[in-house]
Amino acid sequence: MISSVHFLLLSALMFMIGAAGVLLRRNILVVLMSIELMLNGANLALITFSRIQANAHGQSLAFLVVAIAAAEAAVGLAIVVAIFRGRRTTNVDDLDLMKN
Amino acid sequence: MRIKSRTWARKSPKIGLTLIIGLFTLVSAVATAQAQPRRGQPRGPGVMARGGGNTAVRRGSAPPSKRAVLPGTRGIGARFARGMRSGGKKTARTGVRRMPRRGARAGQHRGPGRRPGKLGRATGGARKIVVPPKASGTKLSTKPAKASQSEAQRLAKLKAANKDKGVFGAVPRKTKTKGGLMNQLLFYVLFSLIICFCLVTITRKSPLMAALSLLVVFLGLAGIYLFLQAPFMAAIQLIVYAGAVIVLFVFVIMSIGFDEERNIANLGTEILYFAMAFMLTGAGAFVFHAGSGWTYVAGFAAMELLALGFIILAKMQYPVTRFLGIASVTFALAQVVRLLQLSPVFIGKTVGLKTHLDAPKQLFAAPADGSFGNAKAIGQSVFTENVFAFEALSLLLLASVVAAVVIVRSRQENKEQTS
Repeated sequence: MISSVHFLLLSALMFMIGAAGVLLRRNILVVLMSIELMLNGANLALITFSRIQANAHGQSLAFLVVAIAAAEAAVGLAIVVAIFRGRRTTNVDDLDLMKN
Repeated sequence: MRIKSRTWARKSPKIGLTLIIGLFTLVSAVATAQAQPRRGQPRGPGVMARGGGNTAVRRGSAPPSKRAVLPGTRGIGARFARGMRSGGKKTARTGVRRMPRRGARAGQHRGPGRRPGKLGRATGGARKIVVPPKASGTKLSTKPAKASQSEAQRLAKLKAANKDKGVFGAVPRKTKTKGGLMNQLLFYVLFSLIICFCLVTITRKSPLMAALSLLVVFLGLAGIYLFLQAPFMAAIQLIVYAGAVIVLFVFVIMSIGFDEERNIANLGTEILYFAMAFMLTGAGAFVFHAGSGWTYVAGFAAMELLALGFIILAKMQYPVTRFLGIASVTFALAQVVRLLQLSPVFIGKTVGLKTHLDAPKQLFAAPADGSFGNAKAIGQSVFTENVFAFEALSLLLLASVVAAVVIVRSRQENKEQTS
């Protein structure tokens, strides 16, 4: 009874939970993790559609997305470390450097 | 600090939330009670779309036992039976007519020429973990039960001849491969696992806990990719995400230090606790999806009662009101899980994925010899048609490595370097 809709539903739920995490959480590390969740949800949708269409391009696109997500995590965590060095916080509310 | 203050002002939204969720529970319970019988019915125009008050809904709210006994004599089913009989090849079941649905289905699987071909083509060999085709189209095939025995046999032969042509009637109601039920169970367990740990990821106070639950999410996703015949992507998921990214996260969390795990968000904890309990038991209840009618209902009720018992045992020390709130939350979640079961018809109809739903074979469009999602296929795709993206990505990765090093180095080091 598993159909493609189940996979797409899982993908949508993951994306929504990730988006909620990005919007609601204040810890910048958790925000980054939520972004990873969103990317994974998008990946799952890509692979599902690739499966539906029996087309390998979807999976190669997902492969590229994985690489991009890894790069994003590396740079993001580097930024987190740099911010933490300067300001001793990981709270995004405290990061109002540009404001004043 | 948002967490620590437990004033009335903080509690009151919780009560409001409880009320809202309780309302949702009620509505979803009614919706499921009405919708569940309809899940066996064809998605003819308007069957899912019509709201309520018409014959379909009223018929849908018949008791499950009655539904189980006479599957083919219901109005819509009979209507479709007529339509199918006129359509010739879009036919139906083989022998058994007046058995309950469960037995009828078992008889269906003994149908001539059905299983060997189906098994060999779609789910043969190492492709045991494949998605069983969406069965809604086939539910049609179980409906027209009025035909006589010989008529049914004739139609079965016709159907075997036209197996690849018709979507309706050509696909079995359920692909009962060996372990097909286990595959379903595995899928639902992975599903609920992923959702639960996604929630854990965004609700934990400690980033370390979030990272570890993210690891669980990634592992579960690798399993889901195997369901989708994407073994290469599953391996990449394990290597890159579970291997590299999580390690990077944990490394950074450890290096910058994390707060002592203070008072964990209470509401989040409770919701999570029960979400996990109920979603996992709900996933177990999907096993009973194989049974029809009262079998399913009894199995589901047993599972939910089990979970409720656990919750009562675990939360005995809490005040009653709080427990009621929690119970309504969990029951709502259980309803969500149960609604999920209807999702192929329900959501698919809503978002217009009708094409793929009505043609469940499309999930089997990939070759069954395992050459779909393996490294060779992906490599051919990446290095031939997407080679430009691949090269651009290599530049991106180089840039990100350099950027990470430059960003992390402190200004002091930079000054020393330049001077």
